[in-house]
Amino acid sequence: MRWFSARFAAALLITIAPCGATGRAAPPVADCPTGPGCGPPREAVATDADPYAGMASDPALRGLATASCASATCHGGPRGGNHAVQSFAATTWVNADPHAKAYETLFTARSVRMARLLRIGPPHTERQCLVCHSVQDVSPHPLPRDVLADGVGCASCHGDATEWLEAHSLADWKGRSPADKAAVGFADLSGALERARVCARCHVGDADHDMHHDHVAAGHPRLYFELAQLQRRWPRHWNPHGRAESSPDFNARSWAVGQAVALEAAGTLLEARTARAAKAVRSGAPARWPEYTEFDCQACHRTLATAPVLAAGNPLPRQLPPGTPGWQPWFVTAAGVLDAGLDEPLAGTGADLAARVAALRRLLADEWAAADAARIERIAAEARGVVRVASRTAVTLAAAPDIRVAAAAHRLAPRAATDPRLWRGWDAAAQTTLALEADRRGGPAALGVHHAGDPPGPLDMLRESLLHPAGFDAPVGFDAERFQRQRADVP
Amino acid sequence: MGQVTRHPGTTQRRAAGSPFRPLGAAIVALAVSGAGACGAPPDALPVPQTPPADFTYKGAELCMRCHRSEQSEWCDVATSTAWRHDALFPANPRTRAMEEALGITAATTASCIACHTHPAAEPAPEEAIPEESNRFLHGGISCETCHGPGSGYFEPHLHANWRFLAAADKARLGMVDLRDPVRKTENCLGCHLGDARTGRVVPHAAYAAGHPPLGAFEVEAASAAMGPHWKRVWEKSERIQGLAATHDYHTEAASTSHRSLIAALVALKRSAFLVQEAAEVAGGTADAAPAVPGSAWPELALYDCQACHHDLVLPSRRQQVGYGGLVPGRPGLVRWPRRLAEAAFAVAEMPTAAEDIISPWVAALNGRPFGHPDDLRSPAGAGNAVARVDAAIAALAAVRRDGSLPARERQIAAVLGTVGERCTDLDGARPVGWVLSEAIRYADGWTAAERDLVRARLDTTLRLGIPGPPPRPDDPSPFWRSSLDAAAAFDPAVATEAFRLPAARPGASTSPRSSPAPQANPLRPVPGAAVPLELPATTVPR
Repeated sequence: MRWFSARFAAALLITIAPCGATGRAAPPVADCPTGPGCGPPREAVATDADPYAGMASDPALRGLATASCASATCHGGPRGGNHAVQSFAATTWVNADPHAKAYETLFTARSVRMARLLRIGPPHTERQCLVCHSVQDVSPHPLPRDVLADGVGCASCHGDATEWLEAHSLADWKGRSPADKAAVGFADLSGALERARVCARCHVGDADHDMHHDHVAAGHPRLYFELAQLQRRWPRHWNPHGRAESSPDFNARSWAVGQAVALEAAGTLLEARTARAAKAVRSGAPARWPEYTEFDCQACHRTLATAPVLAAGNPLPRQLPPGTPGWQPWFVTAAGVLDAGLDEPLAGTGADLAARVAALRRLLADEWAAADAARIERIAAEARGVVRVASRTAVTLAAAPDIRVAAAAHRLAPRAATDPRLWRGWDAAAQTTLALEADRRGGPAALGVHHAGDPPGPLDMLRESLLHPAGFDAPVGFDAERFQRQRADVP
Repeated sequence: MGQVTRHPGTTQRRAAGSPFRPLGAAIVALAVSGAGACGAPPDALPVPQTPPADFTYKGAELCMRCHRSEQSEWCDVATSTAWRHDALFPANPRTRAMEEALGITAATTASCIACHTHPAAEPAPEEAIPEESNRFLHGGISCETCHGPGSGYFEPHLHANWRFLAAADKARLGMVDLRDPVRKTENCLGCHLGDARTGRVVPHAAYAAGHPPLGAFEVEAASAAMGPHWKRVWEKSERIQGLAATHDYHTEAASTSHRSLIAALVALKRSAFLVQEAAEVAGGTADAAPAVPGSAWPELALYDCQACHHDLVLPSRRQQVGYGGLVPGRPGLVRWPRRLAEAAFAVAEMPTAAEDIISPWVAALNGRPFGHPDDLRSPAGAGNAVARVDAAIAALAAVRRDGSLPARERQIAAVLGTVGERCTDLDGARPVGWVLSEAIRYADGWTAAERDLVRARLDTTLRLGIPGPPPRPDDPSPFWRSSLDAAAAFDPAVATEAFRLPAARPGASTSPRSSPAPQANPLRPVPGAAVPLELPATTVPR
């Protein structure tokens, strides 16, 4: 009964009285939007005679609840504990990891307003929210609220532990092969490729984790994904020894593999969306295409008062017809930087991927608002092509012995010249900056992060120039000229 | 865009074969001899049953022989200084930049000339572009664009008895009844809002390439700013007004504000039809090559610009404005006609929300982003919605101009004030402001100073002024740029304050105001000499 910690006992209590005030992430009753499961706590959960009478752990929850992992003798130990068994993993997670707060986010004013605008139930009861804001996506059945309250917990990334919870505490676990571990549902996350694919499920999206434009319109922030940066900023809750961090090219590899996986995920999501839309069109059902989050946010979302074309005309040559939104510049420029930024011996590895992405972008320029099923399916087919090439590229990069990034300006210049509108945008600037950071920061996680007190370097200045104004979820006022000047200052 | 349906008719002159020529000659003779006595029976002019489609365009030069005359009794284009439809096809740097970006030649592109030239203009062949003698192409919008092709009515309308023909009879001769506010509004909105059936759509690609935006449009305010080259029935002599009543041609509504309210209902209807008609023209999936690159279905320009074109910022103006039944994140129908139309419904004593009226189309737009052409072609409930709009139009059109007008204008002003206070965007507020500014001039219940104050406040807050064309065609900051700035910076709270009216005291003084009207206000005072009713503020000079 290792897993039956005090925390878990409390959690079970809350299961019975769903709106109880105990538990880390359970919101105050006053904040509970009216809905099933909300209301004052029921009385007399425990009796004097036997405080645990009638309480039995639900075997189905054992492998999902963070409490199963977080006992003090396992992963809930002190930071100075046994690093060989990641004794501090859950401790770090619960104290510093934003994923632990994913469920709480569903109770913020912004989330509640989103639900109101979307005319859905309270966000913490909606599967479409919970799949990324809790461990709900690991289980097909609705999970009790105290398990959801863990947010994105252990099982979200490491897999449902039902089959390996006990086994992985035994001495022979480390000796098992990755295939053996995978067979019982344990997700190996030691390499960049595996990590990126797990992260991308939510941070890019897929068929079951579809954060679409209705959500954005209601108030959800835009998603960005670049693995190397996220790892640098993310509090590490594992021992780096023997894992991706131990490699000297950790940052570069995370960046390169992460970008290929991001494109793989973006293609998968686009394919899922278009295939679903085509099917809906064929059956006469409401179809969600065009799906605006597939396109450049700033193409539409800027006040006309600041539209440069209305001011004096824009002399830069165009790749797309006027007034056509391009496919997400975040991913298009990611492919471009990946193609240009890989140094020998991998130079050219990203060329196929960049070409496929460019072809998809061209197709979408014509078909972005296609109404009939056959045309929408053409997009799905092209997206499949991107997925195939991105997959291959990601595997190649993950297996490559040494990855070096050289996001030098002269390498990107030819691209910028052929499509200056795209490459002068904020997304291109951000992708370029991230590549530079992957190149220059180096070292294992957390070592390359700028700490308060250090004098800001040119790269910090570059990053700063990308910040959105307060309150905005858009690069309002981004100055391409200034960015280029500052970029030239980066050694 | 796709296939462009143009007004029928060609540039050919068919005068020689006109069936009306002998009749016309006789009429001219009558008119010259002064034999056409006023009040003569309308049947002095036999009206042919030729369908208007067969009429051809004569060209504005013919009209100008009389109508440019300073002595013209009927219409003096020459003295309408603000006429600004004559040079709409300018060879300016913006046009050149647009042509380059779109890869087109404006003079040969149907969707450009549909609104920028005489309807008889056909796309010019390449070699004919600089040909200044192509008078139709270079003449801009001229008489027949609005009044209808002249071959049928040109000669009969010289007859002194012409004015006693019923509007329907004139229409059978090809002359459009522009006194009818419905007809006139449809006419103006054809270009100023758009009409896919006649190819009059500024495609989104054209906006993206630099076309100035089409903002909110209130027909009577625009007419006033343009400089009216006509007189309303109530501005004419009492003799004519008396005759008007017996000759069934005063379809003009009770006052300018009544006309505006009718026009608002038409605009609401047109805003709903825009996308539906584009779907019909698109014919399903619109695979046909668009006239302008990138302008195939869906035509983004037919939707609410601000639905997409807003900053991504919290708190969000877009969320404050609301969605009117739409799923958040979907572009909706053109928004600006709604609030004024709502006021029109209230004045017609059929209070309803504009969003309720357009809900059939909104439901179709919710089916998928932009709507599916098939769903939009005949949205369920559209017939009922149109019937409700038409009933309100009929109710407003039935109001006659009589002694109760100042009280009616007061009620209209009060309704507009209430509606205006709820406006959340500049484009929706301006039409309400224009009409309120007009209605309150003739309303009782407020002192002249109070009315002046309301008008001045509205003018400043909502930028009611409609300036003339820019001094230079390549003006880097034309007026519409600052309009866009103002729309982006619009503060509903400030507008609410501007729409708040002082408490009315029915029966209070309606004496003419003592102070001059705000100079920036475009609404021209109606010349007062011929007004038979005791109306206030009609003799105030501009």
